[in-house]
Formats: sequence, C-alpha cells, structure tokens
Amino acid sequence: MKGVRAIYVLYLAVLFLGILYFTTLGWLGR
Amino acid sequence: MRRFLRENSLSLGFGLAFVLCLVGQAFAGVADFNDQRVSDGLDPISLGRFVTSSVFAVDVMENWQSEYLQFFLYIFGTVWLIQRGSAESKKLAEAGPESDEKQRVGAHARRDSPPWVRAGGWRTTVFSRSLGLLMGALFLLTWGSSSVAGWAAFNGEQLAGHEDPVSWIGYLGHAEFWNRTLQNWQSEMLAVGSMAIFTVYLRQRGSPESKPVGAPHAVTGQTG
Repeated sequence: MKGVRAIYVLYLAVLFLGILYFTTLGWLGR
Repeated sequence: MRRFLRENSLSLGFGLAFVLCLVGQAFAGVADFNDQRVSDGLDPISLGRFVTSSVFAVDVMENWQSEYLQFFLYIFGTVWLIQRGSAESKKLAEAGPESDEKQRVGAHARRDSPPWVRAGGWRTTVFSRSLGLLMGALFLLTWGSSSVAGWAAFNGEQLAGHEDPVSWIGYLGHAEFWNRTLQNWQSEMLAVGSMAIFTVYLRQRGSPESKPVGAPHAVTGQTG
C-alpha cells in the first residue's frame, strides 16, 4: 500500500500546489 | 514495477492523460492567444510567458472548480437523492447516512478499520465525511483561484483597451466571472443527471459504473 499512498499524496500535492501557483499568478497580476 | 503499474493503472493512467492534456492546452492556448495579439498589432509572447500568465491560470482553474463542484455535489447528493433503476444510486430504502452497523462505525468498527474510525468522537465524525469535505474544499479553493486569476486577466484586457480596471469584489459581480462559472457548471450538472438516468437502461460490460449487463432495468444500485 506504500505505492498507493505515494500516488494519493502526489495527487494532493499537484492539486494544492496547482491552486497555489495559479492563484499567485492572479495576485501578481501577470 | 509491472505489477505496480497494473494495480494502479486507473490513477496513473488518468494522471498521465491529465499532464498530456495540460501540456496540449498550454501549446494550443499560446497559439490562440498569439493569433489574437497579432491581429491586434501586438508582438506574440513566448510559451514560458503564457504559462505564467493569469490568462492560462483562469482557463485551468475555471475547469478544475467545476469538476470538483460536480464531485462534491455528487458525493453529498447521492447520500440522500435516489434514482430508481440507476447504477449510480443506492436502493430506495437506503437514502440517508445509513446505520452504524452498515457503515462499520462506533460499536461496529472492526480491528482492520482505519484508525480514525476506531478512535471515535470528532475524528470519526470528520473521517465519515472526509471525501466530500475534501472535494468541497477543493471546489472552494479552485473557484476562489479562478476568480483571482480571472480578475487579473480581465484587468489586463481592460487596461489594453484603455478602460478602468475593476476591484476583485467588483469582478465577483461582473458578468464575465459568472459567464465563465456557469458555462462550466451547466455541463457538469447535465453530465451527472444524464449518467444517473442512462445507467438505468444502458450497460457497459465490465465497468463498475454500470449494472451487470443482464441486470433488470428496475434494479437499483447493483453495480457490475
């Protein structure tokens, strides 16, 4: 189940880092 | 390795397809954006500049938000809402959060249940709704993100057209924000509703999203 957990964490990381990245672009007015 | 790929092919396959589509969106997006710029008499921008722009950000976030709204509503809605004969619905008598026994919580938790189920109290309450809560949180965050990115992109256009920029609050009440939002929401609602009703009369052999091929149309919630 370690590999499954790694995929789970990867999905969460992509989602939250993606939201952070795209929100930052907006706040910076780029 | 082969076994790992096979056992996780659903999440890995869709994850790979997501990356390919996002890269494709970046290339198509910058080409489309530059077509417009050239016709406006402006210099084209690079791919790197495009993927760090609010124009790309809002196009990504407005689609993410509607997908997570769809899953959030679907997960919470299907606790209570029923569709007779649908593979996507519970049986008619099971509407609601169901008994502790059926859900294996409280006194019915087992030794192999997740730790927060065995813990009881607030942890069990939160864990019992964790899937819907995560989807709801992702919806709110991505919708908020799409509003911020959309606001920046909108003001970029306003300034290019020598018009006044608007505040973020002002953008939340603007027709463009709601047009972007609702054009995505409507398609998600239609997709969920049609999936719920189509699985009554149609089948996909081998898919857990379908009833078994030979299941009667009247049987509810029996997945293949």
